[in-house]
Amino acid sequence: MLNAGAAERTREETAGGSDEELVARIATGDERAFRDFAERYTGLIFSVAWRMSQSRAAAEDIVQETLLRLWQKAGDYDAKRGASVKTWLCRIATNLCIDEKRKGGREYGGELPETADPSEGAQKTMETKQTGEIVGRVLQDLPERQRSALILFHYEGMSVKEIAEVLQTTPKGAERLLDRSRQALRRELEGYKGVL
Amino acid sequence: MMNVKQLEQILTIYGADMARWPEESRGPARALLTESQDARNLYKQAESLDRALNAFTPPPLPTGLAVRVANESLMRARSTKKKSGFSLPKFSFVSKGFWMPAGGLVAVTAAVVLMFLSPHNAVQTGDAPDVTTFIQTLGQQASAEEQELQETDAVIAMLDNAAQTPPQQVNPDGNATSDEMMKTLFDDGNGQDDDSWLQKL
Repeated sequence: MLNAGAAERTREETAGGSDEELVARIATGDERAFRDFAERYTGLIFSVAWRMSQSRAAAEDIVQETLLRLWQKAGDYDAKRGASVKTWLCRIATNLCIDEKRKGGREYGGELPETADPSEGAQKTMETKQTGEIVGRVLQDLPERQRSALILFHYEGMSVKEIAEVLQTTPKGAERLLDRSRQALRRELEGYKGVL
Repeated sequence: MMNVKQLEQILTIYGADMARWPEESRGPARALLTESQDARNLYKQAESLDRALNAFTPPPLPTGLAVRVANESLMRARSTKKKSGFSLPKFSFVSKGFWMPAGGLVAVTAAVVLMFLSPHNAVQTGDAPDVTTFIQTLGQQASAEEQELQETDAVIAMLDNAAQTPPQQVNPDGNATSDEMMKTLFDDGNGQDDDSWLQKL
């Protein structure tokens, strides 16, 4: 399932220029370009950060910190190195999530969304919610890089090559992370009745 | 031809969505799924895992989050810049090319003005007598020092002459004997006998 923000991003990209153009303008101190960029990518960063941390407050902090880094380091971005702005941004956000969790300064996990769509029926909604909570718990127990790989691939629609860029590994390495994360997830979820 | 093991590996890496699979593996996988029940079972398991993952959804994006975090990030960036103290102005020589020649012109003009206004330029004429007086003073000081040296030499010569007179009789520790001292003290200088002073009493 791709993030709902993906379609929104594609639509927004027509305004304000390409990602690379925006970053180039941000590097010169263009606040307008920075605000356009924030509008375009806040959804993506929030989604990644929330799934990594499962905390709304932590996710908002990560969004802000990521955008601050972008403002300060936009001049360092070099499109010729091959990484897209999106993967560069996801690398910043993912590293911040991992660092934050390693520091242990904030309690992660356990803060899950209220409900999906009430019109689907109470029983179905409850089941979906419970499944989501269980998946969230199991994801939290995965090693950080495995969790990051799975989140970027499954939820954000990134390719193996892009994940390799974000996690600074080879495409084969990214495939190994995905393979292990799915295996571990399946193993754990099999212990919960009715989830799989 | 793909086998079940290879299909399983693709499913554990990429999940059940064939659109995410490597393109070259899709055709062989479809062929395997039509003829193998084991392959279909594995595919269903992968689908159920994907469904479970899809149930894990984030809360809706907080309203106005993009604007808020953009404002806060810019504020933090400004405060960080202020805390860091002095920073050089950012001149872009590419987009604002006039800065370089303009800066150079200002620097050269400032150097020329300073050269003419500098107090070192006023030395040449009016100060010449002062310099002459100063040299004369130095000459006088040198003469005085020479005179002092001559006087010192004279004193040293006198002391040398005094050292050449015959030494007094001394006892082993280098002092004059008590008899000699007494003779010196009471000798009237006419060469009389030593006992004559008693007679005077």
